[in-house]
Amino acid sequence: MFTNVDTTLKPKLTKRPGGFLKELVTNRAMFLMLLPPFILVVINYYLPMFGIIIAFKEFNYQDGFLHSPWSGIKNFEFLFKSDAAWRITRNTIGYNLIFIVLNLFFAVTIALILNELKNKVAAKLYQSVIFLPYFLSWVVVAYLVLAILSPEGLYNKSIAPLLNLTAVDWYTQPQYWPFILPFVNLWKNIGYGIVIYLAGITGIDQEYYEAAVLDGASKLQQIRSITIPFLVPLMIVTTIMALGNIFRSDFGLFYQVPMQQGLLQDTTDVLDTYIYNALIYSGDLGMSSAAGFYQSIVGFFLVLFANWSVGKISAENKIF
Amino acid sequence: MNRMKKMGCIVFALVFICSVVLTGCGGSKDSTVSSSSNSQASVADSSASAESKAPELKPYELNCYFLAPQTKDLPLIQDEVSKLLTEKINATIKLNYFFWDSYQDKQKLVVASGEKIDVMFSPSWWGWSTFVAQKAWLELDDLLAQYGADITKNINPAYLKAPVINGKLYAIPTNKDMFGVGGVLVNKALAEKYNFDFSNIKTPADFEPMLKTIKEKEPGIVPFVSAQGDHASYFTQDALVHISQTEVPVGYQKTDGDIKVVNLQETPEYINVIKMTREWYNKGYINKDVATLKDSMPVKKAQKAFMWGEQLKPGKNDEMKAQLGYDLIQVNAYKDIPYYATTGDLTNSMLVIPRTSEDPARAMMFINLLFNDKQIKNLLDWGIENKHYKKIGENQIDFADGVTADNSGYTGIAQWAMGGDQFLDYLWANESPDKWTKMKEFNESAKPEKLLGWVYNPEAVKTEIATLATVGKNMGNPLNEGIVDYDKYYPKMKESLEKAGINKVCADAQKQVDDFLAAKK
Repeated sequence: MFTNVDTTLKPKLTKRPGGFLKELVTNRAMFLMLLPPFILVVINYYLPMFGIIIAFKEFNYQDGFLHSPWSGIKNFEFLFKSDAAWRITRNTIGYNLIFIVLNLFFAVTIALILNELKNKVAAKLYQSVIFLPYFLSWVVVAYLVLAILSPEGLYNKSIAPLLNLTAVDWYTQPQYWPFILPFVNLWKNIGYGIVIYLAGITGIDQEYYEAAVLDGASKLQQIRSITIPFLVPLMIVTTIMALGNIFRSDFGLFYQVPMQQGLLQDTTDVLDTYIYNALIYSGDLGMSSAAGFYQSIVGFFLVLFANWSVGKISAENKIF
Repeated sequence: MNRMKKMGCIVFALVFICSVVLTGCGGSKDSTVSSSSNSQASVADSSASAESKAPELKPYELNCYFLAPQTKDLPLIQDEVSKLLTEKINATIKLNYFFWDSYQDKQKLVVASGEKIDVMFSPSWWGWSTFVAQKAWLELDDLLAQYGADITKNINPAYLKAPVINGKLYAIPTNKDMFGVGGVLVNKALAEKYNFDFSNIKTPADFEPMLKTIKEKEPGIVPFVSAQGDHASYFTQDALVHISQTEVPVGYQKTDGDIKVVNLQETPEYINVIKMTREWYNKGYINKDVATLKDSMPVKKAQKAFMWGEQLKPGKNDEMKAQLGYDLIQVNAYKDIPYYATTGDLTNSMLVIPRTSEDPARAMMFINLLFNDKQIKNLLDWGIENKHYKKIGENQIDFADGVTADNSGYTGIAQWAMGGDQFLDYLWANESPDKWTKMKEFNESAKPEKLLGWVYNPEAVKTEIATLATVGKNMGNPLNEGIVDYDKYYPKMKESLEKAGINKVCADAQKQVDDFLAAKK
């Protein structure tokens, strides 16, 4: 019996590597496409991982990165010593949650609207116009925002007097920034999401709609019962990917757009800006890496949690 | 309709590829590593070309970082200096210029990246002692003794006693004015238009009537221009000393009596100035965009400013005229107060040799040249003769024909930050020929403070300093700029400072001060 099993299994086992090789050959175009991002991920994410040890060292330039003396968890004290730890954690997660919800809602809605436009030329034009800000640098966006919100800017000099509103010194009032930042982020990034959902909509078989029209379904009914259900898997995938990054923030947005105003730090300081500032003002590599390490660990558990909760809702959409 | 599906796939794939390419671009931000390998490659290149000269020295490229504006003709200057250096020490030079808006960030990043650097500008107010604690800078005692004969000959001996930690020298200061006086520069044409009299100015508050007049009568002019976070120090520096970088509000009051290390933001001198700044901001004397304005130079150049804070020394107004192109008056902020020369003044412009230098001896030879070679020093300061400036006397220069402050390809250099012996610098046509004699008198007029030669060693409280720097910068700027009320805002900041360990730092520094004074006796 045993030997019997053995002989039947053996060919399968030996076949496996050959199978992979064969797959490599047949799908070589696909693997070739995978190669650049693969190399990028190795270089950008895996190689620097050895640098984690700096977080546990009292780094100095003489002994370098391998031979500097160990310092235990002393570098982490700095993160929790100030009142910053709570503030930056709250801001990072809070903003990312807002961004995920807003981007999902508006990307899907606008994609649906663009898809229903009869004039396809106009639809393309709108789409391009909405997509354009995505390619702007954050520095440019920051100065556009400054041109509108500065004390001598468009709002205070032109809009406020016209509509009889009081002038506001935006760069000294932290309470407005939880609205300004999501708006700016949405304006800049929405085009990217729209393209993904438009692609998803184009992929839906037209026969469903033809059948629905025969049954007398209205446009709204078609959207609700055909388009949206088809988009749900795409929405889940993009949301999980965004949740995995919830502990990373868009450095450009939070560093450039508020113009590094200390007064706004209550509502604009996030992990990435804090780590950057810590390195710039203290010049201490150990402490900066400790903060980076903290970010990665929490981020890692958040990915696990996000994936686990998706598994609870619909098991087939789990990533791993 | 399978085609549609296929189209969707292709679109998705394209978007994915785009995003990968885009993230790739973002990732290349920290590509300093590759640039350093470039410079190494060019070292190899130059070694091939200039083999015959000075056989005892191999060709070498000096990679230098200076606090200076990025100017159009920098490559020309670089070539000229390289020519001179090849003759003298068989080296070429790579000049990296970054100015106020970016030098501090850039310095931290290139040092952290491990780039090969031979000479770097590193003043005490930008964390020089922290770099020393991290062993980023080389000890210079031996190098100075071996290759720095002209430095020791020409520099005022007090300078070499200042940048010393644990008995070792870590920087070569610039030989220049030995202390600074806080004050303002004023647009002369406007001052004359309204007949302002500056002889009665006893404290900064006395400027107020003038600012008021300008505000009322000159609508397009900013009465007192100020940029992000830079204002308060000019009015407090005559009284207060920071012991670490300027973001950390720990220091002491200049006095002949007992030295007490305190939280500087609670000293009466600071509070008075901050409250006055707040008043000026509220009355509209200070530009409303002070919090977001990163560089006030364009405003000054466009003659849109009446007055601004500045660290003064003899002839500062003439020096600035060369940059701005119009007449200025310099006015001290306080009258009849004693001026002290402090360690901070002696270490406020220094050159260091980083540990990454591959030939520290050559770097020291270059610094040595800055102390005895008029040609190289003035080339770095003013550019190329007859292209950027022309000689009108033995030591006097003016803009070359057809060149002005606006169209010159090499202008705006802060000569005091270029290292070496500033007494070698040519003088401008508008400067008094006895500027350097006056400067020497000025240097002698300073009273050496009790703590002269003491440098704070932050090693034991590195964590606290790092946290304090972040708090001090983020929360301190709004105070300095005048955009918040001290009484309402400071209690919250105080809480953050205390949490960050300001009391521990004060105690640690106080102990070092006491030890230093006890050892001196």
